[in-house]
Parts: sequence; C-alpha cells; structure tokens
Amino acid sequence: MLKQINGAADFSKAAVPISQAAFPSPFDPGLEFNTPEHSHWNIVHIGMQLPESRQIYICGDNCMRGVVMTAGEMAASDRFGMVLLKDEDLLDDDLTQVTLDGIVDCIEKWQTHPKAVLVFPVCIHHFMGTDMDQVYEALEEKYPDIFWLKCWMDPIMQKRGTTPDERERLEMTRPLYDLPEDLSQANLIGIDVPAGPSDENDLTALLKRGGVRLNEIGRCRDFETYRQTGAAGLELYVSQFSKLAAEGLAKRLKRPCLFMDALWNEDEIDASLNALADFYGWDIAPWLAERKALAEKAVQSAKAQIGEMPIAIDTVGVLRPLSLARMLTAHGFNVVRIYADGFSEAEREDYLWLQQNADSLTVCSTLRPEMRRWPEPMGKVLAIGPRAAWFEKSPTFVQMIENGGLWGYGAWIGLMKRMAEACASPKAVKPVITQKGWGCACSL
Amino acid sequence: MKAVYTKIPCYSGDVSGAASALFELGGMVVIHDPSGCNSTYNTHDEIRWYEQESLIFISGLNDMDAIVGNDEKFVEDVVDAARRLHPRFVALCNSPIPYITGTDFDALAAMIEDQIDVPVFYISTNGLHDYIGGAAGAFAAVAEHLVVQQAEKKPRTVNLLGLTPLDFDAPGCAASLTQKLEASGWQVMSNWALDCDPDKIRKAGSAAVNLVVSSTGWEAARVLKRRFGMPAVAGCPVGGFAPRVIEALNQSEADGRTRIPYAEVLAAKADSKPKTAVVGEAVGAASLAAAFSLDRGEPVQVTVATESPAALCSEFVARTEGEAAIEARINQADCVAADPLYRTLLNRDTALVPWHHFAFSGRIGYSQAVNLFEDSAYQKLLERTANGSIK
Repeated sequence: MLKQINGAADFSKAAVPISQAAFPSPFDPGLEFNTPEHSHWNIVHIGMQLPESRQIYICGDNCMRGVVMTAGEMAASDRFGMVLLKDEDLLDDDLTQVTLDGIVDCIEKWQTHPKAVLVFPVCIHHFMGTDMDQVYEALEEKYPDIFWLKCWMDPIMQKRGTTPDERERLEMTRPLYDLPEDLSQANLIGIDVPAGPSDENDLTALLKRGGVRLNEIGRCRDFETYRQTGAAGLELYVSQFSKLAAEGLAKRLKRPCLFMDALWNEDEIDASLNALADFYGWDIAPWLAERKALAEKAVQSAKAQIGEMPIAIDTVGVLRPLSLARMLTAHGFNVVRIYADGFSEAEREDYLWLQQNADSLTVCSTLRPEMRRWPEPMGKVLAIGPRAAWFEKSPTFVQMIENGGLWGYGAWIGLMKRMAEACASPKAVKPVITQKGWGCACSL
Repeated sequence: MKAVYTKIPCYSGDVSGAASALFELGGMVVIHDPSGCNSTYNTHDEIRWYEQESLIFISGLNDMDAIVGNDEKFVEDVVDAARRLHPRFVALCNSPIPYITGTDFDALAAMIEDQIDVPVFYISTNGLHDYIGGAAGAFAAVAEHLVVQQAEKKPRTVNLLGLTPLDFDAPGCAASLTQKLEASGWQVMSNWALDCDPDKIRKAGSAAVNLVVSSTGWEAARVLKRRFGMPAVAGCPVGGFAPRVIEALNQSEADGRTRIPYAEVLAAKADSKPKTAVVGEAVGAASLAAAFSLDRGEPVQVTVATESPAALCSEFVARTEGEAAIEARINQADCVAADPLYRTLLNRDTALVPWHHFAFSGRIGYSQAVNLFEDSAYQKLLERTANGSIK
C-alpha cells in the first residue's frame, strides 16, 4: 500500500552543537547519504596524475560505472581499460586467471605499451581469495617494460584500515628512483591540488627563498621526469591521507620526512616552518614576522568586509576544518556550522578550544540519511568548501578542495581574498560543485 | 575476452537501474554496499539528484560485518532511517559482496517489515549486470507490491512502463509521449516513473493496456498481465512507427494479446547489408529503427547493447555482447545512430548520428539529448541519417 510521504525529518542525530558533540565521532553510524557535490578527487583522478600511465579496473558493472565515467568526464578514456566481471567469473571460474587474462587483453588491445599501469582489483578479489601476487608475477614477466602499480578499489576495507587512495598514493611513489640525495630538491608527496604561489603558500615561498625546488607529480611532464624526483633530499606532505605514501617513500629511499600539517593557528604554523628551516639551517625569523604581519592585515581587512555573516566550513574544502574554525573564531568571524562526519585525534585540542569559545557552532553530518532533508538556512551564509555550499544552498561560497593550494600565513591571505571575492561575486552553485574532481580536466 | 573494454564505457549498473526506477515513488532505496554505489548512481546515472528529493542510501558495509554476517546492524539502520524519514515503502538492493556471501535479503526484508508499517521488498541486483535488470526488477516489485486491485477496467487507458531518464533523458519526454497518446485517443492511467504521480501507479490495475517503452518495463507488464489480465504493447511511438504502436494498442485492447509491433516492421525489410544501424536498448533502438525503416523504405539494423530480455529481441534486433562484437556488427552499416561515445568503435567511413543515451554516456554530451516523441526532433535525426552525416 502506498503511503503519503512525510517531508519532515528528525535531525537530532545528524546535527549537534559542538558543546555536546562526541569526539572523535559525533554521529552514530547508519545508512549513508551522498550529496550531489562531487568536487573531491577519487582514485581515477589521483592515478591520472602519473604521466604516461594507464589504469585497468577489474570489477562488475556497478563499480565500473563510477570509474569509467570519471575517466570519460576528465577526457582520459584513452588511458582506461576495464575487465567486466560476470556471475560466472565468480561462481564457475578461477578469478585469478580471469583477472590476469583480462589485463593481458587490455594491454594487447591498446597495441602500444604505456610506461606504467595502475591495476585495480576490487572487494570481490579479497573475498574470493584471488592470488594477486601470481597475477603481478605473470604480468611483470610478460611485460617487463611496463611498471606495474598494485592498487586496490576495495572500499569494504576502508573503515577499519587504509583507504584505496592511501594505498594508491603509496604505490605511486614506487617508481621513484633511488638516487644520490640532492638537497636542492624537495618532494611534496600525495597532493591533488598543486601548492599555490608564494603569496598564498608559505612552503612555496620558503623553499623558493632558500633555492630549493619543490617537486610535485602534477608538474612532471613525463614518467621519466617523475622517476628522477627520487633524488629529492626531503619528503614533505600536508595531508594525513598522504602519510602512508610520504613515510613509505622516505623509509625506502632513506630520506627525512616532514609532515607540514595544513594548520591555521600561529603557533602551529610557526612550529612547522621552523622545523623546515631547521632542516636546511635557515634563519627565518624576520621573514616569518613579515609574513605574519601581512596575514594579520589581510584578516582584519576581510573581517571588516564580511562582518558577522555566518560562515560554514566543510572537510572537502579544507584539510583541517576545526583548526580553521578556531582561527576564524579567534579573529571574530561568526563560524556557525562545520560539515564533518568525524575527526582525527590530532584535532582534539582545536575541538576542545571550540567547545569553550564557539557557543553557536554546530557540527553537522554529511552522511546521515536525514541530511537529505537538511533545510535551507534562514539567512545568507558564506560557505567555505563545496559541500558546505550545497547544504547551505549558498551562492556565496569559496570553491576549493584540500585547502586549494593554500598553506600557512599565505593561506590566511589566500583564503581571506577568496572569502571576500565570494561575498562580492555570488555564483551558481550547481555547475561548480557537481563537476567531478575539481581542478582536473573536465569534458562536460 | 568479450568482457574487456578499452574504447567504450559500460552501461549503468543494475543497482542504478533499480534506484532510477523508484526515484520518484516516495520510497527509500537501500543499497547494501560499502561505498561508491550511491555516488556513482547520483553522479553518472541520475539527472534528478540535485533538484529532486529521493531517499536513496547505502548501508556502508564493512569487511567484518560482511564476514561475520552482522545483518542486525543492517536491519537496525534501515529501521532507524525509515522511522526518521517516513518513506512510503522500502526497497533493498544487493551488491557484489553480500551476493557472494549469500545474504538472505527476503528474510531481511521480512525482518524490517515487522518493525515498520510500510511494504519492504527486495530487488534482485548484484552489481554485475547493466541497468535493465535492476530497473525491471524494481518496476516488477512495484507491480507486485504497490498496485492495488481495481474494480473495473477503464477503456482506452494505458500505463507507460519503463520510462526512466536512463533511457529517456531529454527534458519533456514523458509529457510529449503523453500528448502523443492523447492525440490518438488514449489516456495515460499511470507513468512508470518519470515526472510521475505515485498515486496513479497505485491504481494502474484499471488500465486497459500496458505500453512498454523500454526493456525495463517488460517484467512489470508480465506481472500486471498475471495480476490483472492486462495485455502489453512494446514500442515507442516515434516518427512513422507511431501509428503502428497506436494500432497495436487498439488491437491488444480488443483481443487481450501482447504485441511487439517493431518486430514485424524490421523483419519485413531485413537485409544483410543495411545502410543504417541503430544501437541501444532493445525497445527504444528497435522503435527508432522501425521508424527510420518505414519513413525511408529501407532496412535498418538494430544492435542491442544492453541486457534486454530475449522476448524483446530477435534475429533483426540482435543482442550483442562485448566491445569487439559490437564494433564488428555496427560497422556493417554506412551510418549509425548511437550514443556519441560509440564513435570510437566506428570505421573512418562510417557516419555517426548522435543519439545521446544517459545510461551509456551519462552527463557527457547531455546537452545534445533529444526528445524523440517530439516529431521535429525525430525529423532532424531522420534527416541526419538520410544524409549520412557527421563522420
């Protein structure tokens, strides 16, 4: 019997004041909603950064559809191969052999060999006990000219272990040569958004000032150039999702590794920059004071323009939303909502500070099913990040992912500029936030 | 291997088909899946997600719950969400891992239904098939569980079965189709299920005939035939083929027999080397081919690239699996009406007439989608095939 739908929803389990929010998991797990916002990068986008590489996926139609269309929308279908699994492959056949044969067929159909191939078996391969070691042994023997990257698309494992993209980023460091250490180069590992220019990114500015070249995968013109970045004398990373890759590479090549966490508060920024300067033996005190003064000026200027306008932040736009909320609150901005489904242990201090100092701040789930019916806000909200823009239905938003190339005091300057621009020039939300993989090529 | 592809994408998966079919009916669709199914669906397979509300969720299955069979969590989560959101019904969909671990979804549906006062049913998907089976299973479940007994038949009324944006992606398709039928003296009793009224679907049992406009509606037609004795006609009233569809509706109302009028048209003009070919889902592609054939007096080849039911296919409406087989078949023609992403399979001398199919190319090229129930749009396509345009 059909029954009239009731358009209301109970949000008590989906949005809680920060003063009452449990840490690090504010929300009970349950069914999961997915917003129409798709700015974040997935494993296809990440892998396509590897120059002269191709990707092969081995899975059923439903899982395949997401990745093959990702490649299509970023105009990279010619770098994508697929082996579509059918019932009989699982029930009546040897999945190890089916997988190997399928990958070989892809290579043969391509005719020319790519420099590297990222191979993605899926959850089913775990459950069917597929011998992927045997598959790679055979592939490496048959195609020694191809560098095989052993990736996974196995989201069933991600809630209790590493995610597919963390392992992919680690695999993507394997091609780097073990070369003599060159201290005039540093690698920024596992990033999707290139480091911004010197005025918006302190890492870019400081390394440039010290004559150190910052290597990023997205700027390598070919596979060989990328491999040569193994010479860099220092491995840097800015996101916890790149930790496995950066530390794994550092361990393999016996290099130092620094986590330049994308934090927003002065003491933390100073500590990270001083650690980097200490590594190179640089005195940066005057430089740092100058940057800090510029950043403070930018914040005051933006505050004068934005005033008490409510602000919402999400975890797609910024890597450390609680840290940003704390910095903004400390400078008098009116941060009212954070869209995040959980936090890392490293964010505890910011969380405790906000509990004491941000009475009006609410933590909102993005996954809870009732968020499908999240109401429009009563007034105008400045959203930082695409997911916040969707929930707030706000044309006043800063479109960026993963900090948008910003870092440190430069990030203050860059973000203030973007916030002011967002207020001055509202834009249509849908065409921006529904584009998949913000910053990638897009054929739509 | 026929399942290896390097040039074209795959069609939307069965889970997306189920979700698309049920999108507007006010229910809650739950896909028992770790991650990705919902994102894939709402990004690439669903044009309504941004503007229209629909309760479609995944369970967020993890490895340990799958291994130890922690079905209680799934049941609790579905019940909790249903109590908070008040759907009209709940539909459960399977995915590869619960499929291979043999999760008993009928039992889970019964356990959930015991705790909430709306129908709960399972749609047999496993993520290893294209959208046809999922959407067909969803519509069949609607026919089985949600359509109520009606006292009497209403003459000259029709249910439109199999109408989803996966096959009918251009804005206005449902309205144009309805207008076309009304102009021929047929009233639409219910529309399954695009720009539709769910309450009318509930009363679908009183219609005189079912019009199956895509393969996704065929199974529901079989259920409605069993439950209410309603005959069906498979075909889309496009171009010069439209009068044949209307004639078939008239005949089926009179004699209670099911008809597939495009089969006769295409068989009558079959040729081993047709100049024109159409690629797509069986009913839509064959109807378009029949229209081309009648309007130009020439044979037209049909390649069915989806998992359409055998009853809707034939020697002349050939189900063709795999990239290599499709490539070999469609290059027999000089001109191919197909989704633009098929261009990569065509020889240099074979012309492509673009016919966007959302279940294939999704958002890519969506602005070129055409509403073939509009005669002017069909006419343009016909002219393009006549000219062998767009190499």
